Amino acid sequence: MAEVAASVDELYPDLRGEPMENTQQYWSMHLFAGILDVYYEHRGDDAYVACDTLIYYQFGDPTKKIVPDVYVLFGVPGIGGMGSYKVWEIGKAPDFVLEVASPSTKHKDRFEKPSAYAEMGVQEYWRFDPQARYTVPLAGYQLASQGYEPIPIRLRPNGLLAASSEVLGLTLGAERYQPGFREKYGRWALFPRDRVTDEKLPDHAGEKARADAAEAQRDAERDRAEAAEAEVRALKAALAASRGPSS
Amino acid sequence: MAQLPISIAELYPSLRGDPKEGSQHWWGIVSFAGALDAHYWGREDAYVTGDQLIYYELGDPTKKIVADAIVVLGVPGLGAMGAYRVWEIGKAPDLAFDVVLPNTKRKHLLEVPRAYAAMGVRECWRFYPEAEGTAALAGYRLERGVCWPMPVVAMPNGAVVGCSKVLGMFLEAERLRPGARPAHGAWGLFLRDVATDEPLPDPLGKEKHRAREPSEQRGALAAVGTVGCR
Repeated sequence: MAEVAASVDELYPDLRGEPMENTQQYWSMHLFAGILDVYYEHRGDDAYVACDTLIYYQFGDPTKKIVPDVYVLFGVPGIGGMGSYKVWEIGKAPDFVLEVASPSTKHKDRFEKPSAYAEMGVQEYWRFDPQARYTVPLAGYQLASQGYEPIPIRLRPNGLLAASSEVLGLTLGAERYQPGFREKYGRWALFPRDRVTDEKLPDHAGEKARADAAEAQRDAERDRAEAAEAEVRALKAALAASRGPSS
Repeated sequence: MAQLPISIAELYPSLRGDPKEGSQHWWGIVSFAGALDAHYWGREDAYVTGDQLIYYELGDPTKKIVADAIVVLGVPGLGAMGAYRVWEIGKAPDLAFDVVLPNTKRKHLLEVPRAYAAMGVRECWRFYPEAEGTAALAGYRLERGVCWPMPVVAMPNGAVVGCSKVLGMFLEAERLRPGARPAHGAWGLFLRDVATDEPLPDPLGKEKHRAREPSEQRGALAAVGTVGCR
């Protein structure tokens, strides 16, 4: 007899293989990959940034395939819109891979995928968990002769988890979203930062627009508070005047 | 006997159901969802997200579809979510957006609009980043289970423009000039607020690869707005 499904979650699981598992995963990839793409285009680097596309890494064996959440390839000019990435056609594996953790991938991201990435020669492998429920928010590994070795992550006094990516030439910083940010993004944000200035790289439209909106909101609240205070002062003055000099 | 695969493309297909069919697919979603997400900042009742699984009939888990991006208006407090279950949210998304590449074209002709119509999506738009000719954009208004095509007009500069009533925005598909990243596709999609006439910033900064607007464009654009949005 078939087992009866126990809950709505089992009957309608979030994971169906194809879409993102949740909004946190989508927006983490959206923001991180978008920032890198704009940054390298601006610098004129031959960088190819792609998300959620298939890589075949062994000629002759179509079962050797993997889908990184984000990958970056350097030094291969002229790559256009590409369907699946065939390592033997491009001539090398991507240089950088980021996996964004989600409930069903926590095991795969830690154990299965890194061995495939090491086998194909991905220089740096990073893992980011926007919920930080299952693992630490940020972990990075560098390919050495014996497989991946961890990249040191530093906890700064302001709570930022920061580590250096040699391949990207950037610092990667995981920080907690401030209250008031959108819950759909997750609890933690991953921002690439300039190594010299330590500034977050601009997120072309989103981040600036959000910062502007947050500032406008603060301004509006201050204006409202000031207006309310002025009104109270005016009322007090009017009240005092109405009582007249005798009171 | 099992059939032998005949080509590399068959042996290593780009489309496997789960990942994206190509880089253009992802970047098309980012342009649309990112621009709107920034635009709606501060509006609690406007929700945008990408690559979203939707279940649209309680009791039938096979009734599901993945939209590349959705916009939900008038439901405050939507936050992080896994799958979108229409009966939990209380309504279908108001708008669905899909990026269509050659392999998924067929699915988008019938199956996808049918599902959107069944669940009550008010408008759906399709963007073809590798379109040849002028069919880079198509929009449908869904009423009582029937899809009605929205007017999409070719502009003097070659852009293809439609007007979304749900968003109050022009969707402008435009062939990108040389110098744009090929990974983003041959066409770019841009949004413009109908009320203010202001373009929304593109999350990937693709504005610099747009063609100039000839002066007669403004009149043509206003005509699209009149037909599609009012």
